[in-house]
Amino acid sequence: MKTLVTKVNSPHPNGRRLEMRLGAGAILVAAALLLLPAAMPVFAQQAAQPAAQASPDTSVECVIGLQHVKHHTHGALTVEGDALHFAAEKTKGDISIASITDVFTGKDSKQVFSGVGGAIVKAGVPYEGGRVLSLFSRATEVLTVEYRDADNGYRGAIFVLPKGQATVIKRQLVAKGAKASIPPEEPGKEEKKP
Amino acid sequence: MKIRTGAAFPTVLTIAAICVGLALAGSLLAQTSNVTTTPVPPKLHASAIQIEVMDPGDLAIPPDFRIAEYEYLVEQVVKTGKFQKVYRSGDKRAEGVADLVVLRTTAESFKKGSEKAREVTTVGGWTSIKLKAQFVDRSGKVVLEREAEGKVRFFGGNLNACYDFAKKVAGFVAESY
Repeated sequence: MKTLVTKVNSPHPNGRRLEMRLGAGAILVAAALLLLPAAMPVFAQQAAQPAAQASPDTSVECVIGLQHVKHHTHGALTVEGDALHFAAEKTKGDISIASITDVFTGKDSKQVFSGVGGAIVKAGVPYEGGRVLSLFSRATEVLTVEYRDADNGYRGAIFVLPKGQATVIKRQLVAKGAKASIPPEEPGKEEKKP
Repeated sequence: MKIRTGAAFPTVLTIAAICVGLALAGSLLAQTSNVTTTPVPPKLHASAIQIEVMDPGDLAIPPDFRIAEYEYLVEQVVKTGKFQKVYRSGDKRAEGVADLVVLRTTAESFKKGSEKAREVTTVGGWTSIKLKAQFVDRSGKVVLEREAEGKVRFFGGNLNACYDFAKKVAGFVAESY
């Protein structure tokens, strides 16, 4: 310890190198500490799955396909009356259940640190440490809805929901008369792809 | 011995200018000869297009990929501005249009990668979708046929491969219509 202190304090180039290494190590430790709270929701989400199934009105991403709604808009997806209703902060869209020709669900995963913000965070971690952040992902479900518009034109919408919610929505849609080539499975079971 | 650099400078400059001029003239001549050797295909014309749903063939393409391919394709073809009307598959309004062209896509290969694998390894986890795009006129004649491959190699979700494919097809539309 004594030698270490003398090396760090010494103006010698080797001492400076060691000081830089210690600094980098400190940054890595700080980054790891910062990541811990970010990783916690992932584990918390996995633990709280049954609760999420009971309340499907959480944040849902509309990837594409809903009229008047921009791509990758986040909002709430619910089955209200005779329509599948998506409501974001500024926009909203509906799909009439009678117009739905097929509904699919599928499992997927989403990166915790994604998009431009995620790329910046990853780039900010030294020594290629950003790759470690890429290991953090959360399980999601994809709800794909095929439907016809007023002119009988084919349309499709893709929603990304927290795990377990797509099956709930599909069951609600089928119960209200939506067509589905594959019957909705029980929560936890993955339906077979056509 | 005294070197007269000041007097030599205009001569060097003139020689350099001649060299640059010759090089430019050469490249221009080569370009002109290229243009004359490759005939430009005549532009196709249609006032409206109807985009059909992708035929997955024997490939097990997930529904979200099929939908994403279709929706991005419609969006990108509309963006080209080459057609007065863009109809979706099954649209009743397309039935009476005389000079309608139908765009059909058939899947040829598909590989679903992983976003996590892409970001961690940077050499694995690629997603790719290769499709054949056919533009068919009212008589059933194929007026244009191209193959395109949509890929995601580094960043972004798997469905971005469909966006990449749609952009390429829109490029074919822009150069042929």
